[in-house]
Amino acid sequence: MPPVHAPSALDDPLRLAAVAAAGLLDSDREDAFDDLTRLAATLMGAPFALATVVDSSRAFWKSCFGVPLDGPRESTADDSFCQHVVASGQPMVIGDVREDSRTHDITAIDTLGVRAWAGVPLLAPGGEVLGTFCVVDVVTRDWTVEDLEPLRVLGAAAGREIALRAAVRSEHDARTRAEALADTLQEALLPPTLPAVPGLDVAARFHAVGGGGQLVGDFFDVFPVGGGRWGTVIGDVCGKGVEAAKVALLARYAVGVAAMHSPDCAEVVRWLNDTLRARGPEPDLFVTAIYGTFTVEPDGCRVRLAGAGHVPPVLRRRDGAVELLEVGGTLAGVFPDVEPGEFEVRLGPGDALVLYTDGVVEAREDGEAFGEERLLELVARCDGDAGTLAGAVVAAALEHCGGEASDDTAAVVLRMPVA
Amino acid sequence: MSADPGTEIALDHTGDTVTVRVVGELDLSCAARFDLAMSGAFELGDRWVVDLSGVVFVDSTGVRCLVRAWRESLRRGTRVEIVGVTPAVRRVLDLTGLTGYLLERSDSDVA
Repeated sequence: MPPVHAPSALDDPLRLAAVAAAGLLDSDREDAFDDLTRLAATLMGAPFALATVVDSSRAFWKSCFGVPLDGPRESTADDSFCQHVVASGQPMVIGDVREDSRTHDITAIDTLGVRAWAGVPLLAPGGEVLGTFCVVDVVTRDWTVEDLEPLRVLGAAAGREIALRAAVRSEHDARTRAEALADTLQEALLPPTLPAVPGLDVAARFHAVGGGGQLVGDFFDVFPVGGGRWGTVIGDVCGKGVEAAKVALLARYAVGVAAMHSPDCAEVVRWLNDTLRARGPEPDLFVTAIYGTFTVEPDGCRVRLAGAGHVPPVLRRRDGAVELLEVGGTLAGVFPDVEPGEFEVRLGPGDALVLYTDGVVEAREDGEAFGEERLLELVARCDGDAGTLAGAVVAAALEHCGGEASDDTAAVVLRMPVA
Repeated sequence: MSADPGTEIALDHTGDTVTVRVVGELDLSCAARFDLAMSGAFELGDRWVVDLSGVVFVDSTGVRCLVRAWRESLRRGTRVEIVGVTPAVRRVLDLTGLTGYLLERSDSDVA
């Protein structure tokens, strides 16, 4: 039997790509389509109604109301009625298929007793013809224009179902990509481990709101700045989500770059303020931060700090005496020409400096915030190494708010080991 | 996330002065309501007062609200007056370096 369709229509690569993308070939029966074919058959008083998808060689019956469940669910393309709709892109209506030159030798006339056929194109979201939405009768029919209206409407509904699925898939893909991007950004934001600083015990602990996969507005780092000196920064973007994470990334890199150019902590903080302000008017996002430099010597560590309105670090002396270091300064990113606060402290053997973000002191459930007093008491009691101390601070804040923090919580500890 | 502990935000319009009064905690749970109240205040009058005498706690989100209100008021030509600053609020404004900016020409501290 020679093929009667124009080969270019069935084999059109764009159409075949749309057929593949729809993902309906060889898929199971689904209510979404079966409801439509059943309705079409009922409305049009026909025993069969089908939604078909046609690739280059076969017509797959995605839904086939009236056809026995254990019966065939496809025919070859060139032995199908559908091929003519696919080829023309137009509805096709035949009152007696035995009398029509396009269809008189189709097998289904004998096997299923087909006598009348009416179908409309089933369209992909991009307008390509995937197959047909059709009704089939076993007696000849004198189809009227009114008969075709429900077919057109239900066929369009089937097309919308396919389009909806494509949209959901593309939304899902976009979300998957966005989540991967978020993970990458977060990796860029948070050094998983701080570098080993010879002669000094350094550790950080962090708890992100909502666990992994969340973008964060807290940032911290420890890095060499040359000449045996080190820099450390801790900061907090007020705000959440992608915008806060972008600002946190910008702030951390601004500090890193400035630190390479200036040994003066206050200058680095001014640079941070200027960099954030250069983003343009952004009243909603600002940063509090402390930048410090330190040099480790055998008998101690000299730390210089410059602040931009950040929560005050806790200094813990070896004997358990604690104090808040009021570094001061003004939050960065809002005002021009701010003067950073400055502080200098020397860590002797066993002394520790605890830097943290406001998620620690603001942690609370229904009652009081964790606060500075509890933090001081906790640090005074905790006579461990840097990791133990940082871990205790984050854990205590988390415990205080019943395990469900509403803000990111970070702690960085510098501790001079006992010789 | 804990439930809204019931912060009250009231808008009081007298003459051309609109007062936004906060009682409770100025934080994430009521930030949107505070912003809304401020928008209303900016539309209703030409002088604005934020009364924080009933505020027992302010977090960074609350600070953000105050900075936003302050900036908007400057944009409109009259600085919002922040009054009734309790010790808890004063501590946060001091730490963030905002006291000099936000409380300038305010003399109603209860600290």
